Amino acid sequence: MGRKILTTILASAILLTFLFFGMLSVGQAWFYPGILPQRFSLQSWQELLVGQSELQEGLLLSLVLGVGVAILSTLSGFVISKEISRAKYKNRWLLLAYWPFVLSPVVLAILVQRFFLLTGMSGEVIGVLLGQLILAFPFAVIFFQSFWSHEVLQLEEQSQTLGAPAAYTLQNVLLPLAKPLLLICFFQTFLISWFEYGLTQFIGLGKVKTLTILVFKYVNEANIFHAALASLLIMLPPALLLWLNKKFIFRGI
Amino acid sequence: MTISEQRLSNRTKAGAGVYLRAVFLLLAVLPVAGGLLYGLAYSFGVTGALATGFTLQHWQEVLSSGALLHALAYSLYIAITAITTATAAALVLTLYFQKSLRSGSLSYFLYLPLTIPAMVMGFLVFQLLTKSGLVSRVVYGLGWISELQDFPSLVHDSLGFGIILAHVLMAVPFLTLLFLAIYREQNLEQLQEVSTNLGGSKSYFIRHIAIPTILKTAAPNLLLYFIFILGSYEIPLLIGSQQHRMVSVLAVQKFQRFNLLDIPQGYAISVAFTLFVLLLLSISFKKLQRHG
Repeated sequence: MGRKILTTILASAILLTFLFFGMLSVGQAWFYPGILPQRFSLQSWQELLVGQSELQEGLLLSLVLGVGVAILSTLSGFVISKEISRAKYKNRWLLLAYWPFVLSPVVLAILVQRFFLLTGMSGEVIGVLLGQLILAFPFAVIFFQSFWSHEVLQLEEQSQTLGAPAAYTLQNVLLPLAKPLLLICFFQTFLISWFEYGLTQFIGLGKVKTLTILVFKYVNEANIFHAALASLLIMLPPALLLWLNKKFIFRGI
Repeated sequence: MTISEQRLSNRTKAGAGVYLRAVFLLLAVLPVAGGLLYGLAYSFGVTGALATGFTLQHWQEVLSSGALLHALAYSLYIAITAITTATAAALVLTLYFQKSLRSGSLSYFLYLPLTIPAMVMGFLVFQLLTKSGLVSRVVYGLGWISELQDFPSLVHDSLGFGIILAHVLMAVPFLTLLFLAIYREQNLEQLQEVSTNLGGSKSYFIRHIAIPTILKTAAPNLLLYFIFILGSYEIPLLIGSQQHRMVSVLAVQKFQRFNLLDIPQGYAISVAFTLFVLLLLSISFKKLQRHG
C-alpha cells in the first residue's frame, strides 16, 4: 500500500512539472500568494503558431540546427567509426573521442572560441553548428562501435568476395543492418544539439537564439510566462520521441 | 578479382582510411587539443591582445587570490553531495520499486525527466523554491508562514541547496534506469533466489550482494556523471549564490568582465580545471581497473 502511494506521488510529481509549465505558459499575471495565475491568455501560443515571434524563430532555428547536427554527425560517425573499429590501436583512438565529454561544454567553448572568432564564424549559425558537432560527432563515433562487430565486418567482406561492389554492399547489407542504430543515433545527436546551451551561447555570441538561449534570456528579463513556454517547447519533442520509443532517449555511450 | 586488382583495392582502402582518420582528428581531437594549447599559451602571456612574452603572473594571480581553489572546493562539495544523494535515491527505487518500474506507470513516467535539460531544470527549481515560488505559495495557503519573507532561502543560498536539488532531480531517473539495467544484466534476481535458498535475508542480499554489485558495475558511469556535475554551468548560473561560484561560472565571469587583464586568468582557470579533471579521471580509472 505504502509503495503504491509513493509510486503515485512520484508519477504525479513528474507529470506536474509539465502541467506547471503548461499553466505558466498560458498565464499573464501571477501575484503572490495566488497558487494559480490571476489571468490566463493563449496569446503566447497564438503568436507562436500564427504570428512572427522570437519564439517561433527560436523553435525553427533549434530544429534546423538539431536536424543539421544529427544528419552530419550520424553519417560521418557511421563511416568513421568503421575505420576506428579496425584501427590497430582502437582503444587509444576511442579514448580521444571521449575528450570533449570530459570537459564542461562551457569550458570547451571558452577554449575553442578563438578559432571561431578568427574564421568569422562567431555569431553565425554555421559556427554554432560546427561547435555542436564537436560534441555530437565523437558521440556518434563511440555510439557506432557496438555495430562494427567481427560478424558485421565479415559479412561485408563476404559480400565483396562474392563480387558485390562497395555501394551495393552498403545499400543492401550494411544499411539495413544498421538502420535501427542509425535512427537512435540520429535522435540522440539531435537531442545533444536541442539541449545545448554553453557552446551555443559562447560561439553564437547570443545572436544565434535557440530555445535554450531564449529560456535564459526570458528568465533574465523576469518574463516567466515566455520562459515556461520556451521550456515546454524544449521538453515536448523529446517527450514525443519517448512515447514513440524509449530507446531514442536512453540508449547512449 | 585478380591479385593486382585486389592489391589496388587494398591500397585505395588504406588511402581512404588515412583521410577518414584525418577527419576524425580534425573534428574530435583538434578543437580540444588546439583549444587547450591556445588557452595555455594565452595564460602564460605568449599570445593574446595584451601579450608581453612568457610570464607566470596570471597563474600566480589565479592561485594566490584563492578564487580558483575556493571554486574548485565548492564544485567538489556540490558534485559529491549531489551524486551521493542521487545514487542513494536511485538505489532505493531500484531495489524496492522493481515491479512499478518495470510494468507500472512509473516505467513510462521515469523517462520523462530525461527530457528536461539543465537550463530548464534550473528554471523549474527556481520557480518552485524561490521565496515567491510555488512551494512558498502552497505553504502560505496552508497557513504555515504568514508572509513571503518567512519562507527560507532555498535558491541563491550559500549551501547550494537549489543547485544540489536540481542535479539530484536530473540524476535520479538516469541512475535508476542504469541500475535497473545492471540489475537485469548481472542476474541479481536469480542471485537473490540463491541467497534466500541458502538462508540469507532480503536485507543481507541487498547490503552484501545487490548494492556492491550495482555500485561496482556502475562506477565508471557514476564517475562521468560526477565530472558532469563538477563542470556544470547553467544550473549554478541560474540558482547559484553570488558568494560561492562553481568553476565554470568563475571562468566565464573572467571572460565577461570589461578588464582585458582578466581574460588570461579565465584561460588559466579553464586549463587548470581541464587538467584537474583529466588527472582525476586517469587516477580513478586506474583504480577502477585494478579493482575490476
